Amino acid sequence: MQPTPTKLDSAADAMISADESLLAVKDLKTHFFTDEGVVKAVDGVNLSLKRGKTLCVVGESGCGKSVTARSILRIVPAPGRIVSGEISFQQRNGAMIDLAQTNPKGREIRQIRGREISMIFQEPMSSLSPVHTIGSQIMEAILLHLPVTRQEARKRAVSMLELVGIPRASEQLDSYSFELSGGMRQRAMIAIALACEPQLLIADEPTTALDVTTQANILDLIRDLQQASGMSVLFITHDLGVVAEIADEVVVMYLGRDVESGPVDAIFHDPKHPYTRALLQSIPRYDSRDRDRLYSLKGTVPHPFDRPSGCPFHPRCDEFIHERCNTVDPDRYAAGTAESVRCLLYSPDED
Amino acid sequence: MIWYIARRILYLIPTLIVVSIIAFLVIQLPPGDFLASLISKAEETIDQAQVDALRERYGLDEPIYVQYWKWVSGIVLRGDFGDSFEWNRPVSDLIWERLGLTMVISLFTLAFIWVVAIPIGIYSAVNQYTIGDYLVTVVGFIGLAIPNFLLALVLMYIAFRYFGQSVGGLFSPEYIDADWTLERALDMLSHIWLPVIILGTSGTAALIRVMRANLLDELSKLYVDAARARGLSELRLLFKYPVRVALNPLVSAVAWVFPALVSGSAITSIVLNLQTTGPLLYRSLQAQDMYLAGSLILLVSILTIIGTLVSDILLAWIDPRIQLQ
Repeated sequence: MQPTPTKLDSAADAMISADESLLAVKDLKTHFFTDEGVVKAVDGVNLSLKRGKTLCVVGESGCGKSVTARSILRIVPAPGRIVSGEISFQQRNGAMIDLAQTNPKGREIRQIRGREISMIFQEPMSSLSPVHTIGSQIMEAILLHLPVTRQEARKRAVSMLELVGIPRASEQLDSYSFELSGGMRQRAMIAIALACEPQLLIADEPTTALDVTTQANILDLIRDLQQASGMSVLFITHDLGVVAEIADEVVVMYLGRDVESGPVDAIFHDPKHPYTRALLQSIPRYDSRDRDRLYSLKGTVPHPFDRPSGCPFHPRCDEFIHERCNTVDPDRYAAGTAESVRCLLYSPDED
Repeated sequence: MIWYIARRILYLIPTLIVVSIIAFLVIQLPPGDFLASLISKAEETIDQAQVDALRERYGLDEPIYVQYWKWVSGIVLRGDFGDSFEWNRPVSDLIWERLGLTMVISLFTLAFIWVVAIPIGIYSAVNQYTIGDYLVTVVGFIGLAIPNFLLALVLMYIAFRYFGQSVGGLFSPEYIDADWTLERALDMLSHIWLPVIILGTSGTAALIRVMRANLLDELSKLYVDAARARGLSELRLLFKYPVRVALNPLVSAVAWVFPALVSGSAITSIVLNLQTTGPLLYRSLQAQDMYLAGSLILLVSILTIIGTLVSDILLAWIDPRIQLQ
């Protein structure tokens, strides 16, 4: 039985004020003001993350996943800028803060970075300094945020390296990033990120640059650490296999927007948005017959300056409604088990 | 590290031998010799017997390898660089003070270049495509484009006209031939800024560009974002990570900045009447004063080799990525 579709604005408001919610991003817009024009990398993203849960953000390359993540920590590279929207985050002391309103170079956001929210990046090869030891970078994070002496910081750094499974931790503390393998570097990055026990870990495709075995190890590590510490994880990936493995909630993004969000089971078993369905159909299945051609989504992601009118997905959509989808910008609607779907198929105003 | 340095010093020996041979050969390359150029300039004719006597006295009729051996063994065994034909004095009498002054000017210029160019380069990179960056770029290119000797003339005029300073040379007239005293050193310091600015301008302009480009490369690296995501303040972040990495190539550039300063300053030094090696080398080459010219070229080459060694050691010391095996 399907509940009647309704608009979600009031429901979203209720979610933000809910006690268990740690992070709520509302209608975030981050644009890049280049000489050629404005690139709307993120153009109205909504997501919310509960304490201790894992939220996966999925989408094709260039859909604004990373920019969303960077917007939360306010480390969007120039000429990018948050244009509007809200990023409500509940601090350790219970106070709510709108990260979108903070000065990206100010003290306020700096005390949140690394202490309340940490981030690990796609390429562990380049996210560690080539001329500083692993230890100096872990200790830097610890000394910056915790009231400890250098010796205590060093001890903590060693125990962090042990925690993330780096062998001979006290020796490795003095090694340089180029002396470690890719997997070990990502472990070291995780150690740095978790050194001050943040409430939220943002992982921006942390396994994409690693080989498959190492990927699985790193995913297990993140999951174990999450269970031990109770932190929330915002996991960004384009790999639906990874999503199935670790997500509690999922947000599917397309062209800088959330097109569908909901619990992981709902997304995988009852996808609503044509884009989500297409993504899921594109996964090769071991039980498919040899002669079946793998489904592939038609067309490509449009150029950022050439954003389609109406629903931005309509030129590639199999269920395109002429004169509707290319003119009406869909709102977020509730549909079935999904929390919200941005598609006119689920609009209460459509027949 | 000690083994690395020891090995590098050992490598210096064959390099120096080759350099000394090349220096000597280069001096012998132009046709004729010192006597030929002396005769061509002499107003009265010199008879052949006199020429032969001189040629024998200077050892110019001996085979080239004998001349080379005499010169090199003199340097190595007795520190004797031979005699200058033109000045009629031992080469070592002529060059040491000039070499010392050249070193002083070069080191001051190098310091000037670094102190001015690095902060400006950092500013320019951090504020890329702002008015400040464009301004620095324009001024930098002008500095790069103005020939040093022209800048020398302009600044000499300014120094003379507006500061009433005695221009030319490194010393006030009363100190030129004086012994080294504190007053003479202070007098030199009050004169040295002019040649330092002139010699340093193009190097500064070039280094601003290099520093800007290096730093821009580093600023977009992920480790900078990662450090920022750790909560580091912008200023500490800038100097601890990207600037630190961007400086590495500059250290290796010390080696080539140095010989460029020593040899490239000849024309400027002539204009400014500096008592450095540049004008002396220029004059000795014109006169085919072979032992003087050869010794100067040899010494400048040695300085370059030592500069390379020092910058390599520095780089190995500051950059952990350089493996010493």
